[in-house]
Amino acid sequence: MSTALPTALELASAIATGSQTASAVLDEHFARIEAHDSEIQAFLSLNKDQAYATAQSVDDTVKAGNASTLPLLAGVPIAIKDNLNVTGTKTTCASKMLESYVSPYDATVITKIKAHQMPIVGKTNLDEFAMGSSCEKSAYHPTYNPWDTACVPGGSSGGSAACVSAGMVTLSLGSDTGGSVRQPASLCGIVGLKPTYGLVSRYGLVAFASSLDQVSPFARTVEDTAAILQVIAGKDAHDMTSSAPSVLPDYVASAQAGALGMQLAGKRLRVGIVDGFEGEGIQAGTQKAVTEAIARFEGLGADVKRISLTGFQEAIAAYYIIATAEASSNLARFDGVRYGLSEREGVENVYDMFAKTRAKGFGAEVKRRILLGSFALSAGYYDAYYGKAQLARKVLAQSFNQAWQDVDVLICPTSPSVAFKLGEKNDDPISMYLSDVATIPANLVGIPALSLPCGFDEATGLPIGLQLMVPAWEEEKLLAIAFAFQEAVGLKNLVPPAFQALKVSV
Amino acid sequence: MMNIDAETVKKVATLSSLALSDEEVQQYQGELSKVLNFVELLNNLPLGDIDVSSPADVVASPVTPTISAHDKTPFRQDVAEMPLSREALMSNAPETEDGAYVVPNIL
Repeated sequence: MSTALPTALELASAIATGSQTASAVLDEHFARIEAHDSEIQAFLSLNKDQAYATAQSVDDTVKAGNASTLPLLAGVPIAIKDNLNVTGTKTTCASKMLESYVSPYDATVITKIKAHQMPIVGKTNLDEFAMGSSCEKSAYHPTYNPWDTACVPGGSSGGSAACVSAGMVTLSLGSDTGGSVRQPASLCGIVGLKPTYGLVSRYGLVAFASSLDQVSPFARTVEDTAAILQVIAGKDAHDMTSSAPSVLPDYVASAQAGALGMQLAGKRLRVGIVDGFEGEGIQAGTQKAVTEAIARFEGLGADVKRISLTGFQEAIAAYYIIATAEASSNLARFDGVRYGLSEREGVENVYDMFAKTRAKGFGAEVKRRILLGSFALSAGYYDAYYGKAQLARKVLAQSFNQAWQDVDVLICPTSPSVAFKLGEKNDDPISMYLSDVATIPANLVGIPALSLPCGFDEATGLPIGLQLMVPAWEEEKLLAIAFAFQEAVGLKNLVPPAFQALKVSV
Repeated sequence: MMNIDAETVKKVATLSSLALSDEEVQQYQGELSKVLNFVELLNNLPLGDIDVSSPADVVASPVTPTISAHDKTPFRQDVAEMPLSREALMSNAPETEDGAYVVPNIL
């Protein structure tokens, strides 16, 4: 199953060979945004002038006969989560706190995207400050799942996932702190990759939890995912936690090496199935799809075994201490002094101004997490909560290291369920938090993880995602395995039927 | 069972510079207690050979892979840079005067 819409690499090739101009490609994508975004509401703002200027410069290069000098993905439109700074655009983080904030600088990933001459079409919706799993916690409006608009697209990067799923762009960037790219990718039937912590610079990403955050791409195929990773990866002097080889591998070529099948350096691939994803809490359709995925790996010649990871199920508890502790510190910067909302009417003194500004600017979920984080770090509770959570993180890292002795890749469902209905999990924060049970461990230990479609739920017709995890810095292997699976299962470049009518020509 | 009282919520709100209404204090009292009870499941985690006598040491040693893979402890030259002009940096400020931020009285 695939659709007639072109992929990012097909668009790039059409532009470079002159069969289509970058401006026309942009026209057709803005036409799709115009036609569909009133229903999906993926975008918070559009960026037409900058986007057309970029497309024009690509077209000028091609017209001058210099197409061979164009960088990878030149002219391919991209959407950006609204917690990444793009000079001259509003960067709201979907918060009232930053309603009028205009970025005075570019995030490093944006500098790279501009160097690759990719038109930035707009900024996408998210749960406020990336805190949420449904995109309902945006202070502006929810985003709707293109497969069923009664359902959420997942979150927090719901806008970036939905606009790729509905074919409004072929590529987008989100950020993944506990699954905020992989879970919406799963719920929207597309590919989402969280790279190794440090492979992509966080400079210019509005910080949520600095030891977990990673800028992460969405695409509709594994090859497109590899291509956009190529653009954004690399060490950055502005982010001292970034770290990468001085010469990056060719990720697109690495991905396509998966065409050779489930072999790694001539040996059979060893696949570990993460224990604990059967029975209660995991939807029947999801279990079935994952069971079929396992059979497909075996059919491709992989050795499959079950792996029990100590601390995998407990990771979510550790995460909600560590992430909130870091958030309580990171979000202290929103104090009404240098930028953002500032409540000055009737305040007694500067401390009163801080407290009233933050009370007015932050939504309920953000306040809840700041309070929890401050509690976990406060005197008398620090060892019992923050200390214990860090111990759990260490235990988890050890059990992953142990597992890598036996297997090359670990697999499990990305999300325990398909996309849920809007409002369904709003009353109980814990049930919302549990939708990230499978994705959080990769953030806590820093390893790369990818979600890609592995089937559809018969009951609802909604897509199901499979998560693949590999050791740190092994993105090449991850992409090759994902590509092999994608080709075997035949689910790629998915766009829901309701969004296929408007064509994009190449 | 960990149940947080209203005083603790108020204390944490002060630490967080967040003004809360009485209704919010009550709401967060319930919600935070719920989350903290959920987090109790960490107590059942087998710790193996990890030395738990000093959680602070564990906290200080990073588990993320960055430090070990391509760099030792990352150092850089201490070179002054001017990535943004003062005007650009202050362009979002609520109130400025003579190149400085203006805030309500401090004392």
